[in-house]
Amino acid sequence: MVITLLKIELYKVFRKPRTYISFIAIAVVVLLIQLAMKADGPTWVKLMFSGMDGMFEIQNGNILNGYFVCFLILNTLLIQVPLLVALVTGDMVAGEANMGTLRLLVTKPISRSNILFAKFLASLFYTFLLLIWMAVLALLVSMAVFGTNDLLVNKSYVVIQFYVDNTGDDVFWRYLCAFGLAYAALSAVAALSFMLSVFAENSIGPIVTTMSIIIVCTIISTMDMPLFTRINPYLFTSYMTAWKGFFNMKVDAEGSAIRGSIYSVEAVVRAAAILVGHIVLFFSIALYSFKRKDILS
Amino acid sequence: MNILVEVSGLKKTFKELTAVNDLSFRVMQGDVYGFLGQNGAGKSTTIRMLLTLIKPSSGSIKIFDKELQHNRNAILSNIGAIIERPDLYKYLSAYDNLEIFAKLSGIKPTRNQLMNQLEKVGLADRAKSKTQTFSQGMKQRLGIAIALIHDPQLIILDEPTNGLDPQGIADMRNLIIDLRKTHQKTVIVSSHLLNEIEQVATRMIIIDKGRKVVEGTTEELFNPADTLVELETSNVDALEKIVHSKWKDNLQSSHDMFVFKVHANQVPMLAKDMVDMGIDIYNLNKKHSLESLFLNLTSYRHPAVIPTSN
Repeated sequence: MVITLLKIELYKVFRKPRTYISFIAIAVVVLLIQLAMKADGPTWVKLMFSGMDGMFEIQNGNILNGYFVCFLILNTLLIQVPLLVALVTGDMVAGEANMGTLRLLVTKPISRSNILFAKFLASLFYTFLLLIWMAVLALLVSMAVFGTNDLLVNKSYVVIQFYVDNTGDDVFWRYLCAFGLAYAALSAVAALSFMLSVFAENSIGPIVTTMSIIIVCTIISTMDMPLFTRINPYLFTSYMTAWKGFFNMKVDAEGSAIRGSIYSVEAVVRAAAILVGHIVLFFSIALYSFKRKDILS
Repeated sequence: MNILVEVSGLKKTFKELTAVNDLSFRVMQGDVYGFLGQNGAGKSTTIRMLLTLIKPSSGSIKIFDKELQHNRNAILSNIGAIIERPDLYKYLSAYDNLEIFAKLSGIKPTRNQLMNQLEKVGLADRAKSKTQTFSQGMKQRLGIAIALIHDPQLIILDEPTNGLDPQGIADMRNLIIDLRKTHQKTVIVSSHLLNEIEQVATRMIIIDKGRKVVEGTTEELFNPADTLVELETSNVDALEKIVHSKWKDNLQSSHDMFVFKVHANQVPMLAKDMVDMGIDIYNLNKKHSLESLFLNLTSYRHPAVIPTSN
């Protein structure tokens, strides 16, 4: 029954015009950045890495390549995407309550747990498709337009070079892993807005509340104060950019970067675990409430 | 006759408000069971508890001889419902809405089945139109198609005439009668429109402040000897003619209009005698006996807003 429900939920999600706003918004932003990079990229890159001339040896001398453009896009976009995720996931239950269809849905011979589980799976699937869309546009299209080469990442006054040469590509797999972790982060946002959706009668509330929570938690994450420092490790918002952990390498005893390594696998695993923990927590709260909720709308 | 729905000691409290209090009633198979009460009496809360939308605070509900709490899905698979207004996905077509809710009701309908169902409610030619373009009456007809697509044994209609025009109300009335007579369905219908309930119900319950006031068949509840008839005339000497006629003892009021209390089968005779006495009848209205019963039994105290039909 869950499969039938999931198919129905996905059908409903992808027949709603608002679903496509996110896909269009991502396409517009990505294409604008790619266009800007195509037009003024070399000047911009020169400014960004000024004073470092001759420090890096990149084959074909192409710093402005597809991997670099993708990194730039993800840096810009992954901050805004939570809003686009909440736009649909915050509507999953509240939108039905607002339309009145929730009443009819709950009077059908399906358990409330199955109804909510199917809706949650549909939310996660939507988030997945959004990320795949972003990956195709930001990574694959950038690779096609700008080509591939070594990736230079500017990290706190240190520039890290990831090699793409005859011995292999040390970047592409990092992107795959980064998208995987970014999916976990966006799913946590989806789970939060989904949970809020259970308590609301229209979708504006969950969307606005989700963004407010993310903003407040992000501010807490960035304030270096003892009280907040203790809370930070437990906030899912502290791991929204954990995907960058894949773009940091270990160094050997001589100070040289170890190719194919990740600086802290433990940190990445911990980030993933905390994000998954939040997803489970948010869904559990949603399920507990939905099963006991009186449908009065 | 089998008992289809048995409610015992049902109670629902919302914080400090007791919406339904120790309510018990039975619906027999083949009944059109009218659920009457003023706004806020607890009708919708009770119906939502029957449909598992609201969890009772205490009491038990048995439907098809099974406890609702433990046999929810089995029971709901045999119930069709419209709750206040038809709930539809406005961005989907009539066909899509029907197909989705049919599948959710546990059936796998063919295209022919769905089109036939739309044909029955007169929407086959609008099957592919989005429901946001539909009038209230069309939405209600689609709601009926959805409620009946899985051929349920019990149909629950909560305020089904809300927002309908007179034709829509008449169609709904005919549908309820047809469901019982032609299709042998059991129908629970709640309304504050007394006239509508009076015309379709075989048994009814009146509730007030969440409690049962009275329950029974229409024959049990109405005394035909207490039928009230209102008569409007422009004749200035009408009162004098009436007080000298055999109807003088039946006259209850002569303010604004004449009101007679007669046996239901005396109404034609009353009308004939008035004409014979030369009294011009502008309007002769047999007052809804249910309305009298309702006002007598409930705590309604505001005649200016008496919830009569239309």
